[in-house]
Amino acid sequence: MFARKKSPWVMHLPCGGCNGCDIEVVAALTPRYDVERFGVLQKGTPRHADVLLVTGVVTAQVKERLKRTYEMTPNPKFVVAFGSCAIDGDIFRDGYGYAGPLDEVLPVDTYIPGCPPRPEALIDGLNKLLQKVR
Amino acid sequence: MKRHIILEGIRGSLNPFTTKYPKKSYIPPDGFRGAAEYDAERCVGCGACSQQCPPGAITYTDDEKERKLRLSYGVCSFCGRCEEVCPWDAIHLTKKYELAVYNREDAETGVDIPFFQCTECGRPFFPYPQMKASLEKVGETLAEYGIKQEELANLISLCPTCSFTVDKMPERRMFMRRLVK
Repeated sequence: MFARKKSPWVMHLPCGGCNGCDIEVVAALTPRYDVERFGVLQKGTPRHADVLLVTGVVTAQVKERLKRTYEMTPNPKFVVAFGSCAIDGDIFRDGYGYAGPLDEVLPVDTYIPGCPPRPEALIDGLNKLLQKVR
Repeated sequence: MKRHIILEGIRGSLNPFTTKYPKKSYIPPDGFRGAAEYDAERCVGCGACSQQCPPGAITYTDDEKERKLRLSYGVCSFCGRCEEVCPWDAIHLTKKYELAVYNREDAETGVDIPFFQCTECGRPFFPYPQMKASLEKVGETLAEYGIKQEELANLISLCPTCSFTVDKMPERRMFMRRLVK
C-alpha cells in the first residue's frame, strides 16, 4: 500500500473520443509538467499499473475490453475518469456507439472534468486521488 | 548548431523548466475557457443557455416554486456558447480548472429562480425575475402608447389557463387594440 501512496503507476487508457485528452496526458509527462517528480510513472500494461487513467467516451466496442483491462490490473486498483467524455459522454452522448458513462462500467474514484482538462488539472486530480488513498 | 538552440540550452540548465504547479498556483491566460458559472443576481431563468448548449450540459427542471438550472461539468465541453447567447450577461466562463471531484454529482453548478404565481389560481407559471426584466425592457415602448408598466404587469399576471376565461379580466381582450395606432 505504501508504494501506491508514494508512487502510483499509471496506465493511460484511451477509449473513444477525439484524443484531445490523450495529448494533455502526454503533455503532463513532458519536462514542462513532469508528473514523475510525484512518482507517477506511465506503464504500458495494466499488470504493472495501480491507476487506470481512462480518457474518451466508453464506446460499445471498448466496453468489454475495458472490463477485461480492469480485471487484469492487480489489487488495490483505482480508476480516474479524465475528461468530460469519460465522465458523462460530452458531445458524443447521443451517438450510436456511446455505451454509457464510465462509472456504469467500472467503479471510478476520481473524476476530472474538462474538455480537455489542463495538465495542471491532471496533477490536481492525482493529488486528490492520493489524498483519498491515504 | 544554431545559436538560439545553444542559448536555450544554457538558459534551461540555469533555471528549471518544470512548473512549480502544486506549490505555486497556475494562472491561465485571458480567454481561457474554464468552468462556467452563473451570476445569481443577473440570471432571470429564461433557459436560453440550456437551449443552445451543444452537449446538453445545462438542464432545468421546474418544480412547485422554483426553476432549477443545473450545469453539469461532466457533460460540459467548455465551448462558451452559453456565455455568447445569454441575453442577460448572467453566465460566464471563469478561469477555474481544478475541478476534480470524488462523486459525479458534485461536479455541477446552478441557480434556483423563483416562479411568479398566477393571481387567480396561485399556480406558478413564469420565472419572476424574467417577468420583471422583460417589463423594464418594453417600458419605453409602452410609454409611447401611453400604457403604464404596472398596467401591463397586471395584465400578464394570469397564467395561460386562467387567461382563456374571458370574464376574469375583460380589459385584457382590449389590450391589443390599444397597441394599434
